[in-house]
Amino acid sequence: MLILGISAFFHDSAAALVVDGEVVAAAQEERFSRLKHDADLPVQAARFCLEQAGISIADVDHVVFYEKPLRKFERILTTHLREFPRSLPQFPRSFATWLGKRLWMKGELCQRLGCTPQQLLFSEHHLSHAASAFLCSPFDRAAIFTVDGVGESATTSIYRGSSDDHGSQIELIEELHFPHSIGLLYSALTAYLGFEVNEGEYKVMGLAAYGTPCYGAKFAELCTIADDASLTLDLRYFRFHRHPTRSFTSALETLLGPARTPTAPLHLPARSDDDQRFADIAASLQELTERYLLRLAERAKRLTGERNLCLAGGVALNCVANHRIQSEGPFEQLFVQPAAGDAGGALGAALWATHVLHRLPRREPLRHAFLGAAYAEDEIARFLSECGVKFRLFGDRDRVNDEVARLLAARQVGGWFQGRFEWGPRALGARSILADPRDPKALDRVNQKIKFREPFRPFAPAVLAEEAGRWFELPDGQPDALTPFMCSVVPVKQEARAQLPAVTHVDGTARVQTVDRKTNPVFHGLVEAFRRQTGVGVLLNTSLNLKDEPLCASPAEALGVFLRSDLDFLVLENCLVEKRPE
Amino acid sequence: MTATLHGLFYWLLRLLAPLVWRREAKIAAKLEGFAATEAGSALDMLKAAELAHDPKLRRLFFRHALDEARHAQLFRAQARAIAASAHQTLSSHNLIRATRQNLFERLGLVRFVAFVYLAERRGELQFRALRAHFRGRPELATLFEQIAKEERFHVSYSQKLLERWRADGQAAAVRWALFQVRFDRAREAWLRSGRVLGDVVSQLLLGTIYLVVLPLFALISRALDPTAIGWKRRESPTSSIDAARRQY
Ligand SMILES: [Fe+2]
Ligand SMILES: [Fe+2]
Ligand SMILES: [Fe+2]
Repeated sequence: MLILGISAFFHDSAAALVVDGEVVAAAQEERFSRLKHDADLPVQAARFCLEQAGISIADVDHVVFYEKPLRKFERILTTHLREFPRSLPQFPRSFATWLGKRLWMKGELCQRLGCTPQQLLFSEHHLSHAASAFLCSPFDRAAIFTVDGVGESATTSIYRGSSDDHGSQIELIEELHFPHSIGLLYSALTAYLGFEVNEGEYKVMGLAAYGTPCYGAKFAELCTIADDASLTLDLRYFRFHRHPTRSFTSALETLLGPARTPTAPLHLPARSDDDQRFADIAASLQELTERYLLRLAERAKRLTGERNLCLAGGVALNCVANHRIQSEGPFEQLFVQPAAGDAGGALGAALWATHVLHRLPRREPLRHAFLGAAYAEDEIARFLSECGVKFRLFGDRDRVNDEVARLLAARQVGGWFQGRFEWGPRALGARSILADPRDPKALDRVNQKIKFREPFRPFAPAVLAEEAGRWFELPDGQPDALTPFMCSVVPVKQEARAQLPAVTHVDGTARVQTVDRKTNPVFHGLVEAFRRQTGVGVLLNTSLNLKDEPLCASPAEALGVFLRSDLDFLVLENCLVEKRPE
Repeated sequence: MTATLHGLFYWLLRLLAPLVWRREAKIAAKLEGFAATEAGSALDMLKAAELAHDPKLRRLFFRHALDEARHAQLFRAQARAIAASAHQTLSSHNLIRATRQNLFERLGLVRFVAFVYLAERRGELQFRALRAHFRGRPELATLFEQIAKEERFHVSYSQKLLERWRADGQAAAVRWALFQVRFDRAREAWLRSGRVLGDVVSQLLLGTIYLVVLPLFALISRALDPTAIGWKRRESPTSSIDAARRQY
């Protein structure tokens, strides 16, 4: 059974190929088009998935689109009607898109992907999210909740998933509808804080650590959370539902003070009242999100009685909240699929068709995220030499690891390019920028000279799984289902904070990734080499890209990043390129 | 002949510059636009470096890609500086919206180089005209001067490649490639203007529909529509293939 899942036309488009229940390939279109968060039909990603399996589109049993387009259209139409006449600014634009393109989506899918109408299926947005989490999880049964901006019309849904030898079921229990959405609230405040929606949410999380959640009373005016965990936004403060570009009204500025302009300087720790106000607003938003998700977890527990929880949708990328659900919520274990946002819908749609529609029994859970494209070492070496780049080619992996560990321990910062690139937004050791976490200057250096990003954003540590408990306060003292995918933020142990200054955020936490010998052997080898040399099995790990660019996919892109930034070295498979060779 | 045309084009750009580059906000927005174009061509050149077979071409394309990426950064930094000093927000978007056009794959080598040659020549001319226009503002004049100089290198290497192919007996192919690129450009400009007009007309039409047709339905919908507040229950999403075929 060959199933190709597709998500597109909203945030991050992606394609994923599932063959007899095994995820063979999955990638976001942005990695190929180089347009960050590319939402166009993932033609190149789909082509890559098929090539990876050595098949053509005609061999595929189904192409599954991750949502029901006409149901979404209905929601947009009714919103325009309900908001009449204030939706006038948005109406011509959104309807031109729908009438010109989206309503004929079937034709577009067939034409651009080369499939036939008989091959096409349509899942539902939140169902795809739910499937992406549950069917990748290590659980046979679980409660699932999905939380994002909006799907067709649902913004938050609770499901129950169960699997046996005769396939799987994902049963919808209840859902909240647009416009009442924690995801849209988060986005509107992200825009208010002067960051780009769907990109700046991580910045808000980083900013929150510098503030205190003292805006609780004011946030209570923005939205109410009922005892049954339903959320209601006060629409006087928002206009994402009726305006094409501005998602909040002047009432929000009356309530919280003037919004931050995107280009205004922001210093943290705060140097002005405004700096502090924005940090406090971010902290209040974060606190509200966590409180809401915890209440939602309680509701999901009450309704399903399940022991484990799966979480998906853009809001599940909030790693701080994930940790709180894991440690304070009513469930024993929590699983978040690495591409929890809309890209993950492609994988969910394909898995749903495989296990729920066709009732195939499930195979292994998703143990790693290396589902993208790889490049052969000789191809890389040829590219480097033909571009006139000097490099050292190492005969074996151990020698590369020892050399790279030595460079890192000497406080150099380098790029690391190995094997297939990651599925989802995070670098997990295939396309990474690495540095010594003990180096107090590493944070500033990587932020200001390499990534060109805001100095208040923290970097994540990658730690040997077997050594994680030594450095971090993990819920059960050991790696769980979240940490291999960098999906939770945990406290750094008090005594370790001084030793790991570059990866400890201002509030004493870190978004930790545990590196397992079995599922991530190449990267494990490097961190292990670093541990042998320094006694510390931890590296600073951030994505191999420059500001505003997607994660590198090909060697040429990695080399481009290397040459345009202050990176000291770049390792591509066993080739080492250095700026200033010793 | 070409030299005269070139001269004319240069003076046309000079004449138009004061109209186009008026206000600070406009200048910032134009520079941001340049940044996107340069970033887009960096992506195309990088792809060409990946796909080209000839080592020499690979090296040239790769260097070219790095130049364009740097131009994008320079334009963008200047755009931000101007926008910030004019107390303007550039746009809600923080990202450069560059698009790769996959030119190398689409056009093939000769036509790709012909495209590069013509585009770079136009770019160089434009930046020289702007350097002259902004001679009273050193930060912009230097920026355009520096970038125009590098565009000169792009013009000359692509020109040399075309000349070499001409000398190698591919004169007809080169001529044909140059013609095709010019033709495509004219056609695209034509289509673009058509699209702009079409967009305006469709926006007006939809705006009219909104004001004339929607009011009645809006009233009905408000009367009928249940509130969206609170938890909703509905049939569990069906697991039949037939239902999955539906877009609704
Ligand atoms: Fe979503
Ligand atoms: Fe340029
Ligand atoms: Fe150029």
